[in-house]
Amino acid sequence: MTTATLEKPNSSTPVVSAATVRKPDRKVNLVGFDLGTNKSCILASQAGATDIALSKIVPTVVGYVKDGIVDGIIAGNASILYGEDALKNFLHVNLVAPLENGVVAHPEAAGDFFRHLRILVDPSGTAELRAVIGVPANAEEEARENIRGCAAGVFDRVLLIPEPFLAALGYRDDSRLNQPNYVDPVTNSLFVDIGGGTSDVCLIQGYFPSRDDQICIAFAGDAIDGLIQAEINRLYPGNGISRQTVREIKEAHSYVGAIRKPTDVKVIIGGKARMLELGETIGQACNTLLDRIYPALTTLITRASSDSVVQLLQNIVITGGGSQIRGIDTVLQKRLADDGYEAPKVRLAGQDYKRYVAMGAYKAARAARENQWQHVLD
Amino acid sequence: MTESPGSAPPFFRTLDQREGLSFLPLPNLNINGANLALREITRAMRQICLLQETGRNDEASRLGPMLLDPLIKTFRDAHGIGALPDDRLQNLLVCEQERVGNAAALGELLIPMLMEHLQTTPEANPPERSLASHSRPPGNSPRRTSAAPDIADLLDGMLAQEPARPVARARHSRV
Repeated sequence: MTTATLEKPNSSTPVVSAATVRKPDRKVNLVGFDLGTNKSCILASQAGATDIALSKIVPTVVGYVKDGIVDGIIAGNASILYGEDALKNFLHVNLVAPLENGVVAHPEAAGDFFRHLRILVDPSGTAELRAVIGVPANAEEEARENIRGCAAGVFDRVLLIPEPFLAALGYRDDSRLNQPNYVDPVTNSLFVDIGGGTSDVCLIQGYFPSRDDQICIAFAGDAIDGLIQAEINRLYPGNGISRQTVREIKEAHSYVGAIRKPTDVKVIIGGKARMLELGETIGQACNTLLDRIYPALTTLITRASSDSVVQLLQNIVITGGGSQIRGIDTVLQKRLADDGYEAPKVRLAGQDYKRYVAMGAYKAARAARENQWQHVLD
Repeated sequence: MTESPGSAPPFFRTLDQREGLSFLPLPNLNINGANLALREITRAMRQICLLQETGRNDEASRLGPMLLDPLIKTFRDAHGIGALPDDRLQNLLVCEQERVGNAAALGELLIPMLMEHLQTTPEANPPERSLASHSRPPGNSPRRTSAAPDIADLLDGMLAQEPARPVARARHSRV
């Protein structure tokens, strides 16, 4: 199925866009794009190439330089910064997070972010770009259209595919597919992708998962940060600790299961170092995530046929940033076992968790047939 | 079917080497048993013509004495040789040859069109992957084959689930 979106020319069209200098034999670049709420990952190569030419993780943030910044403070006197550059210069820019809960919340910033990524993939601005973009499980049509809107003028063709499915595809070890003992995650598995904005649970059993096979929970890393920050503010009023610092605290100390006390965390308040005991705060916030994910997991387990469920229970994989929460695999596994599920096995996706969705998107880009790509014209 | 005497039909092929046959109008047989038996004979002829059409001439030549000849003998024993003279037999054969030939020609025309249609419209995919009202393929069981699911086929399943989008939509503002 092919679709097309026409876009009227705009005088503010950036210099580098999909419309500039089209040569008859323009090369085609394939892009796998994990558009994350907090961090995006992009993999790209020329069509037909064997190696990935670009592999980059970019914080999903755009910084618009404030008025009155002295020349030379910002490298190249840029007016817009992206990713790490924007974060590093947070004092001099207005930071905008284009996404919230996995979907476009600020279309202009999202468009600028997309254009920045395009330049990373194709600095010449002459190539045809085909991108597979990950979207949250069961993303509404409006959310999907917003992403297509951002892609207009940036990518020539797109495919929007749910992230947990892409995670399974990316996690799949293609070199082991012929091994008799290797269980292809695309054949029979449950994937739990815990990101910044959403936690997606997906049942994957050898066919493309339907809406009923996927559950999207709008509670993930950012929500945990919110709970932790609210509790810190309650316990230590006037602390002034930023959300970014809270996130760093969470990433360093997150865990699930029995409360671990004391967990002393060093923070700077008013220029002075202080030790805050945050064991219960962090544990309760992370356990809340588990309480939200567990019912979704058991719901999808009940959807599996009796012939497949035993093997399915052996293939529960947690990926995304939430896979770094200490003990999340063992606690979840124990909870399933205690509830009577037959020999469940929960494992973590591993250190490459940041790239699995993008890798799956990249694999899909390489495998997609010509007629499967959706046109996004400008 | 009537033919002008002596004219050769366009797709004429013979099971034996008889020559100089002329075609007579079909006798009007109203006996049910005879009709049924005739249908069996024409069916056997059709089978043979099909094998010839698809290049399986050895099988076709074996089927003649094994299947067709006994049916003809049975018919003639029951209704007399006058009920099914050789002329009529040839006539029936010619009809079946034309029928099979026409079907083959139609298939040659239709199959490429169908293939193109199936490739360009994912909604035309087999029901186990395409029906949006069903959440999973019939049988509700995961793949049992040892082959890894093909990514492009999985994408077809995804596209089949998506609602139809407008072909083109004008955008008035760039994001």
